[in-house]
Amino acid sequence: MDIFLQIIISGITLGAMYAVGTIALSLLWGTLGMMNLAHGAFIALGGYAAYFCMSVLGASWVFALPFALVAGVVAGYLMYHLVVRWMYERREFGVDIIIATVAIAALVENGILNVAGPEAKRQPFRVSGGLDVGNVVLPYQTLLTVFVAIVLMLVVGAIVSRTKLGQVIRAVSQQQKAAQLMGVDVKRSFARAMMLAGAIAAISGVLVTGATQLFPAVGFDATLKALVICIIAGLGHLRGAILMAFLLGLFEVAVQYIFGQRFGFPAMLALVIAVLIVRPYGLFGRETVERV
Amino acid sequence: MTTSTSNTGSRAYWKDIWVGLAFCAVAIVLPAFQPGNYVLSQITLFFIWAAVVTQWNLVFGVAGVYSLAHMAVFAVGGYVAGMMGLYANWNLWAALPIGAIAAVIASFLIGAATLRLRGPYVAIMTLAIAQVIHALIVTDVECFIYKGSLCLNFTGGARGLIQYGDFGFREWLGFKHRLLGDYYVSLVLLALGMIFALFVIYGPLGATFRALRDNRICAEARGVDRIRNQLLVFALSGIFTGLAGGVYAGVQRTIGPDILSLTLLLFLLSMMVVGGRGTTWGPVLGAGALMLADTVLRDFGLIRVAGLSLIILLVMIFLPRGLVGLVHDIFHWKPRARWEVARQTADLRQFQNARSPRKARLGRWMRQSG
Repeated sequence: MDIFLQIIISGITLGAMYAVGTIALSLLWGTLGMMNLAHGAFIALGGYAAYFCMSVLGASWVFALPFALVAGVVAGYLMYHLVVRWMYERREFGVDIIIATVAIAALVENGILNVAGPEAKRQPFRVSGGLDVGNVVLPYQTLLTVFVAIVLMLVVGAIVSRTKLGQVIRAVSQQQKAAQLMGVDVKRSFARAMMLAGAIAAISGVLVTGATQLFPAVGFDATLKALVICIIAGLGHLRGAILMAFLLGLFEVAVQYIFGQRFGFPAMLALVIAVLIVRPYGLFGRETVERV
Repeated sequence: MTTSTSNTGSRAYWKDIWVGLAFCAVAIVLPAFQPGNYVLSQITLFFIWAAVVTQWNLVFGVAGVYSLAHMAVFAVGGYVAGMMGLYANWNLWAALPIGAIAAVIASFLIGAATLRLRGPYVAIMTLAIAQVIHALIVTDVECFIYKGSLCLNFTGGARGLIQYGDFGFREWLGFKHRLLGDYYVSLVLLALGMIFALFVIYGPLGATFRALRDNRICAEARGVDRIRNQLLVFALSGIFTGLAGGVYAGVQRTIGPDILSLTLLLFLLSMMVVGGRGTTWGPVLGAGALMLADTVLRDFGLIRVAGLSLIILLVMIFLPRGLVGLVHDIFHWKPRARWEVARQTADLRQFQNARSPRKARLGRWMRQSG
């Protein structure tokens, strides 16, 4: 029973990390139709920003999250204006942007490596201790991550459905030309969507590195897994993606426990491929009509 | 994107043959100038990478299936060739075809797994497959055989496979000239792979692949079997990729999981992007350019990856058709009249104004007065 409980708690921890990753990725896919493989770089950036704020500047923990948030917003702004806006109108944008964002991820990772060094660091912004459930400890950091994931999901949902910015984002994603004709500044709304995604990624970076460790390549694997989860849920379907994040997190931990650590991700990927062969648009996604 | 592949007239065909012959002639006589061991081994590596990217280009550029798992196919070829040498004591020459067959099977399976996905989905799933294979090899710690007291893993683990023999050039040519053997084997690999790619690109298969890439629905409506063709292009590109893996294993005398690393993937991807996706000579040109850039960047070890990523980003932004597109534009550059430019930008008033200013003036005068 204890083992069972332990698997569930570890699965929820992992699922929470995937879930925060899927939010920003779904947002960018839903608005710009881009798969952001540089998300991992934003995660690392957020983690290092919090580290810099607390360990190097010696500021109080109160400033860590806002500092990371600002770093994420600036990174999103720069990424849009330096890279994305020059490629957006191309026919092959979907693939071009994957190549470009892989390059950005490598660039940022290499930059962090040179500035901060390759060694793994301990994230100072973390909650220690945990809640005793039976004989198993549920770390507070996990609870915090789950909580922030839910808050971020609600905030993003509210922004997209309630605010003017969200209205603009939805209009542009549905009919870009029509939105432009109605006087929507498309470029500006894209820049804002990217800034929002950057902020979410940076905050999730602080939390994820709090649960694990801080090193330059920290985000890439998580990004890839989060993207795979987005795909199986049906890209752009936020709630489905979060549900799948927790389910697949549990599945991965269970496989890791039964067959060994190294088979977790391979088993998850095999499951995803099997599901995608039956449902190529994901579990919750709808088939889109393509015009010739 | 389709600069030289779209016009399949006989002139384009001959141009490619002459370019290929000139390239081979230069490559054959180059060692006579005694460029030194370092340069020679770098050029050998260039041949291998160019051969791999040429085959990758068939899938990625010509057929438009955005697979990022091509290095996994390459790794399967190399690993199987190495394992045949290590566990079955085969000569590496005999193990090469086995590696190629294994690579074809692996490539076919990857093609089958992504059959129902499209565009960017394929890129993510294939990248995940490649990362999984990398992780499985790195974490392989179980002992498969013992050599003396040394425990060897089945895949060699993070250390990689060693001591499976090589092409035997040391015995044939002597220690001094063994690099020449590697050089010419790689050159033959590249030449054969290029001829194979040319046959695919100019043949009916290439036309089918391009049709599926440019407009999947129209092609399917005309009776093109997408499933059969996707499996075919994956299997075909596997042949020479697997051979290249075996040759790499023989030339390097060791094969490890770092050939599946993201850095190398980025390196080869940038060769294709810099050269020009979907073009005939783009992969070779890109491989040459990137090997040169890499040799320069090697002196700045710390920022090597950053430099590579910057090159990719700059090329993606400013030269989306790659170096081949640039060369094409330079050779086909002609000064154009202003009305031609205006026609292309579809600015009708500017077009009219540039073409016959008098009429345009008349029109403006009529609009103003009326």
